Amino acid sequence: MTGETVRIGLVVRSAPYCGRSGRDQLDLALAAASMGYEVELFFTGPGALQLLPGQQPESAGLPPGIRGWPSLVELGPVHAWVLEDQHQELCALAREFTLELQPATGEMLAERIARCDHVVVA
Amino acid sequence: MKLLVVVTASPWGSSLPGAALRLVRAAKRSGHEVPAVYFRDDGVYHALRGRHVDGGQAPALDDWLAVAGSDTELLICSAAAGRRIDVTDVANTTPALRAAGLSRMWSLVADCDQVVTF
Repeated sequence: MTGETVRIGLVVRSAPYCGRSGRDQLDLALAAASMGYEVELFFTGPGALQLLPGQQPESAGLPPGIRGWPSLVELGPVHAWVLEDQHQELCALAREFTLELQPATGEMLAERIARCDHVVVA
Repeated sequence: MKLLVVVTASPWGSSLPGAALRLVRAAKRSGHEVPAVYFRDDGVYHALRGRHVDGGQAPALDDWLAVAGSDTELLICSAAAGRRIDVTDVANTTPALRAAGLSRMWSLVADCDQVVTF
């Protein structure tokens, strides 16, 4: 295992405007990526809404933390996944997302999660 | 087995912290190692000690201090705590609680066999 990259899975469940902080999950991902870990993001439920472009949290009195997701790719390998049904629904809302979001079946997600050395639910 | 417990729920907003506490007690009683409990997000509110206590119930912080003993670190996320509470006050009144960054959390994750998030 010496020299092998550690692969971290992070399950992101929270909708973009459900709290004041707006970037707790992003901070987790940034910390992992900055430590040289390979990051696999699994967006579930309303979590994927964080990646819709053109959001203006400031108009709701919230910090703009969710706009930071694109910066992850500058730190290292990042893969973002969402269930294919939800990916279809999201594509009806936007042509592209702030982070490349890949559709996956339930089996594919389970396989990707199993490949992670550690998984944390954000 | 080495187990890391991460608490994101506040002591008053959910029953999950109680479940986390019971898990840590049971794990240690069974001989498993719990090197740390990491409080992040609203979980950092566990660092606060209120003035009033409901009858028959110890303050959440006291429960955590008792279960941690000398072999489990109680760490609060410095970023989340900085946004929510006065971290200096916490450090002065409860030395057993320590602020720790997310990189510390990830180091613990890499070192443990299992991570359970509440």
